[in-house]
Amino acid sequence: MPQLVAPDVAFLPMLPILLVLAGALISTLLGFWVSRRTLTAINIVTVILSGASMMYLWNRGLTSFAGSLQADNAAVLLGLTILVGTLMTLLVSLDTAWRERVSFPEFDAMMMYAVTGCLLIVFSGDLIVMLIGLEIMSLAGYVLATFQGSRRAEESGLKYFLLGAVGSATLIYGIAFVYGATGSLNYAAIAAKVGSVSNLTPDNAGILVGGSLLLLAGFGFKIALVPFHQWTPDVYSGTSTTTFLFLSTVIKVAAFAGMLRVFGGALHDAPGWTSVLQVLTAATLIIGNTAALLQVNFKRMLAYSAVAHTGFLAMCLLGTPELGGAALGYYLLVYTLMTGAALAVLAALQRTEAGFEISDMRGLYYRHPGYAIALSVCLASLAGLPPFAGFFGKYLAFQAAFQNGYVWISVLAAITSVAALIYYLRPAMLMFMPDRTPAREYLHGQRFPTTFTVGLGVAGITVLGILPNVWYSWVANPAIWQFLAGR
Amino acid sequence: MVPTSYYIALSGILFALGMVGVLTRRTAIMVFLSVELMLNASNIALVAFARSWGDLTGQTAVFIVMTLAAAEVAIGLAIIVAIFRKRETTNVDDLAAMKG
Repeated sequence: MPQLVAPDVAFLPMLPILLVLAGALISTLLGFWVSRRTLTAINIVTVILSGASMMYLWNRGLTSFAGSLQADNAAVLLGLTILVGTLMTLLVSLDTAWRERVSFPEFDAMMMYAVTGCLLIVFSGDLIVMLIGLEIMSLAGYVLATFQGSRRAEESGLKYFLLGAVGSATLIYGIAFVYGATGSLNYAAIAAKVGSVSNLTPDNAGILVGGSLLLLAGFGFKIALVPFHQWTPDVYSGTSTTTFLFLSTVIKVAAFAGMLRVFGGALHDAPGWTSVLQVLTAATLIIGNTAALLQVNFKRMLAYSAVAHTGFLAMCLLGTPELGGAALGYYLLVYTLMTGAALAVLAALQRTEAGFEISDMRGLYYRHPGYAIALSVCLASLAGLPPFAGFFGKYLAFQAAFQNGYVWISVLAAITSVAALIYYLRPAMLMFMPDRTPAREYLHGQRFPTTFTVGLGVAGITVLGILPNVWYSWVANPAIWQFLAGR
Repeated sequence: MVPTSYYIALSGILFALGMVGVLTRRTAIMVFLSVELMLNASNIALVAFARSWGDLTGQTAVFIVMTLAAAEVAIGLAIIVAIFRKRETTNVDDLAAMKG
């Protein structure tokens, strides 16, 4: 009789993912008995534990499942960024979820499942693990967007679902083609095969180009790259603001991490995708920034600003993995902090889920001085003004694209940044103008978890702006980004 | 033996049909069915490529894609039913409260 042997699986590299998954399972099961606030507190603890276990994995370079799961330094840095975004969402949701009518245990459970998927993408070492993570993340995201049950939220959920499903299908077709060209799904094996042209017959090269372009389109749907961005403003402005915070920070960071793994690692030497990506990046910069300029609603303007930032972030992917990876690693954390803090203020002060009109922000400083100052710091950072961290993030992104020869993209990005200055600074200026009409915001928005989150974001972008090396010295080491595909 | 290119051509046709369906159909259910067609196009491509490489990885990937498609059906139909209960329609053109 054959002996039953437990499979030899290294659990240590998976520990951060397993901890978050434990939080999700606890929320699913205990949701029947304990209140949502207790669950949120438990989830905050699991997120912090997961972050601690990531710190433990720093510099160890462990892998699991024969390289399908890799806990290298790049994974740790991007994973920590995801956990920061999750922590901000959880803290804000303690205050705002009941007002947004999403205060169910399921909200926490879905969010933690989504984070599990995000971390799987970040830790992925092969296309299938990446795909599973992406689908867990997206499916949980569709539910989160619909959760509120209002007409607007349902509309946003269906749009997100239908376009997201098309994106996933395109991505899977791309995976099939990359597999057809290289005969492997493992990043390292694909990179080895793609690295030398002699390995590829002319037929296979064509299939590889097709596959990488399909993958690019699939990821384009997830990160809201023009022309695959049409769902973004509707989904972000239709869903509850707390969910908006989650979707525009955590999910976007994870999708970019997946792109970095696939395009910076596995397909880096593949032909064709860079020329398409630079055109799409240019289109994103132009359309995202001009459309944001035309918005009258603050929430919708922030949704378009998320599209515009996709353009700036995608510039990092055009750089070499060493420079671009470092720029992306820095910019993603800064983006999470500034977007998270700005949306936390919006979530605390809005009266309805439509957010508020930009003209209603007149005189906000005289009603909520703390929030007004914090929001203007965030907007200045989003606009890329020194001394805040957004400036250094943009600088690194420009540098990464410029040094790899994409001069025209850098020039275009600089021009669109000027347009960005206008639409970010207009509300910031309005907030400090005196106004005698009664307040149009929710008056009791200043509660501890939200103010803590806003404080965290503002302190983060100020400190990282004045002393960029606090975070940049961690991400700047080129050795981290050289082996994104694994060895 | 049927050459691999025939299978890839078939999967390409299926994928294109699915894409056309997504772009032209106005009912959420039909859009959703078209997406399923696209997923099955990738399954055919994966199996055909796995056969031509003599490698089983592609075939196992198909099982995972099938599972993902099933999970997507569960979530998608739940969202569509939730909308239908409230509005008695699943026409995507009626879902236009937000514009601009």
